[in-house]
Amino acid sequence: MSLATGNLTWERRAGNRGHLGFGPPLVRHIDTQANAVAKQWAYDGVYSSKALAHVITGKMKASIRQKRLGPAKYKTTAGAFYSIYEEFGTRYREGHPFFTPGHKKATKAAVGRWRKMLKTGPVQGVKFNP
Amino acid sequence: MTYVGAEVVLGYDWLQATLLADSGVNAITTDIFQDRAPSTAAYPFIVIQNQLATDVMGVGTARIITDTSFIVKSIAQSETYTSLIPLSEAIDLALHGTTGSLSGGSVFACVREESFRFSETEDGDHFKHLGGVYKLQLQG
Repeated sequence: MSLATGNLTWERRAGNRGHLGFGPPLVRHIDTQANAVAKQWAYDGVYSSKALAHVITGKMKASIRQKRLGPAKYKTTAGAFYSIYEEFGTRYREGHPFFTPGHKKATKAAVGRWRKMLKTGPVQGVKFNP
Repeated sequence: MTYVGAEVVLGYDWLQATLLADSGVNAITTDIFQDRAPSTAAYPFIVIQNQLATDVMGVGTARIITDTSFIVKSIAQSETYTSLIPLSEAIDLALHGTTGSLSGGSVFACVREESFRFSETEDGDHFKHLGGVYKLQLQG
């Protein structure tokens, strides 16, 4: 999570085929599944964060979005300039955390999906030695 | 009083009590606030803010502990973080790796998960926040 600007961003990348010594079909399978997991991870993060966002005008809630950066790599952003103050508060104003809790929840679900994918991947028609 | 159903409040109260009882923190400030400081507070001061609270469930409806994250940060009017280092260090010495209890609830673990820094500017004045995100495992 970047605190460098007023925006809140959270980048995630699921899977790393460089660490796996499997053949091309399994790699393709893992790439496809990793992309699906990362995509769902980002969507869940946005959905959960929006559900927790404190709404006055709705501008900040509407600014929470996800963007695909590459294969199995997504970024979610709360684009309103005051998002960071809403998340962490200021010295005289309490924060209303929405981004961190939303993404922690999404991460928990994504870890479960990734585990399931790793367990069930090879039985979905992918051969180890083509 | 018990903290059943209000474990987050136990976290706030325990952090505040622990910091108030610590001589290192006390030597620098005794102003420790929950969520926000009053506008009359003198710098530096400490603000405690809850970020997360998740229940760890057992079988059925058995609630084992509540996993929480709190930001504990020192705040000063300054252009650099340097002036906040002693207070931030005292906070960490008082909290990291400690356990404890209050009447009505227990804190099984308190560890720092991340460091935290934040900056705000108002009317040309700079305010720095420095501290950490502490994970507390609570039972009310």
